[in-house]
Amino acid sequence: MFKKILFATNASPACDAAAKIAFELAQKYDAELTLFHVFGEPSRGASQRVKSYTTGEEAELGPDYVDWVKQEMADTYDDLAAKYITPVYAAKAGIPSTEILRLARDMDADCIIMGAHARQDDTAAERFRGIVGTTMQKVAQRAKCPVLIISRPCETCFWYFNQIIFGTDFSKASLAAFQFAYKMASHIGCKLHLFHALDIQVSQAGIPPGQKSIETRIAEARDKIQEHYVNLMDNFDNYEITVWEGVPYVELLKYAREVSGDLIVMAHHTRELDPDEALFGSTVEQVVLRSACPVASVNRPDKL
Amino acid sequence: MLMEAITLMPDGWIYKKDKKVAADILPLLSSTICLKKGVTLGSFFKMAGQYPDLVRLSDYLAPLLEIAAAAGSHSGASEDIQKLVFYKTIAMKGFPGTPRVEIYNSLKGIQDEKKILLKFFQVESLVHHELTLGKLEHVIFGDGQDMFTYDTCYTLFELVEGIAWDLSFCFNPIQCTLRR
Repeated sequence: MFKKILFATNASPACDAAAKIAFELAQKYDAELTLFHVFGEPSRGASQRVKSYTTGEEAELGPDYVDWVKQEMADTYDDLAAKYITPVYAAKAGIPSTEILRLARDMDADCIIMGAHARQDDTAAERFRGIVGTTMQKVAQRAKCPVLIISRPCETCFWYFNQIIFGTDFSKASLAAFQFAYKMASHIGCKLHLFHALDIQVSQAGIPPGQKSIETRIAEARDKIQEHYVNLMDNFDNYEITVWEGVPYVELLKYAREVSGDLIVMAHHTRELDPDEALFGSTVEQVVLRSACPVASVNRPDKL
Repeated sequence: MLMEAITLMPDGWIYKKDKKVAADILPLLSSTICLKKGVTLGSFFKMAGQYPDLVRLSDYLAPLLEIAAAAGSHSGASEDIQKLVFYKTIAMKGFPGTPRVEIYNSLKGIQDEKKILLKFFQVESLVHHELTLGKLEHVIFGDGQDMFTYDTCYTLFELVEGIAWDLSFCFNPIQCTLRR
């Protein structure tokens, strides 16, 4: 399933939950694991200086400094490396999202794993930071491979998935997400939930829809799931179609709770898509913040 | 009693000047709220149920209300916390990013005077815990190393919206909580 996994980390405790899953996945699939840390912003002048993203301190940038950062990473993940597999350590100065995407491309990674945040914070404080504009969002939007985002320690997911939830808004990018979810489910032999939430708020221009209209639209959405996704599955019958009405990210979280989902797969839309057609762009961010299980963002079929 | 203060009772009704507020709640959103002794998180949900306009303040309140209603009186209270505290934080941040001030409200559990994040708890296990209002915490350039506390007051809007936000992180499957 995965041959090369890139784990993007800032080597802080905020990435511990993601680190554990990265090591477990790499061992499970006998994959090559690269731990990558973009440690600071390089100076623009002739002097090779770097300003740390974590502390704000400036230092002389050279091979010794990079080696020191790698050694720090190795010390941080010593226990996990001893328990699971020995990873490759990589470190670089630059813009985190750009460098992560560059390395993923260069090493031909088939999965990027990252934590949702660079810092551990209060849940209440997270509303100020949000996710918009952060490294996670940029990577999830542009990566050619699936991006697995982990926001908190997962107690029930991994070693094997039991319940994969694929959330769709029927966009083109959602088809790539489906292909990944289906591939995972059929590879593992677990249950695949095909889920859609009717966003009533955006559909009726301020006029609340009647019950009959909602029921008709739910039936239409079920048919659409059958046509777009179920027809693509060969002999796989361990699936369930569910359509709820409401705010997509709220309904998805409710559904994940109800079925004890241990992986949510959805598309993180690219900028080219019409925002009205791409309900799941903001949904991914809302779900990632709150999900008890990992969220896989898949935008392109290139690396599936 | 503060001027313009309203009081939340254990049964979920709000009182203003000793009179039950039976209908329009929206004009009271900016009123200072006090909690009568015996108010629990369950009282908060009863309030949201009795004043449906409050549910519109957050996308998460309606599903949380369903969870709390389903829990009823049968759910066990978590023994990992003794009570709940709602409090305000003013945090001055110097780095990373440009310097800024963040002001936000939090709901946390209290165990032996220590604050505990609620995102790993089931909402059902919190509804019977006492809900209290805490002091304002002023964090200066750091993660709680330099902190002052002050008495303050909270509006009804802050209480409803702040609790809904923090509990929106509690949509955990039961098996996750059990294993943890």
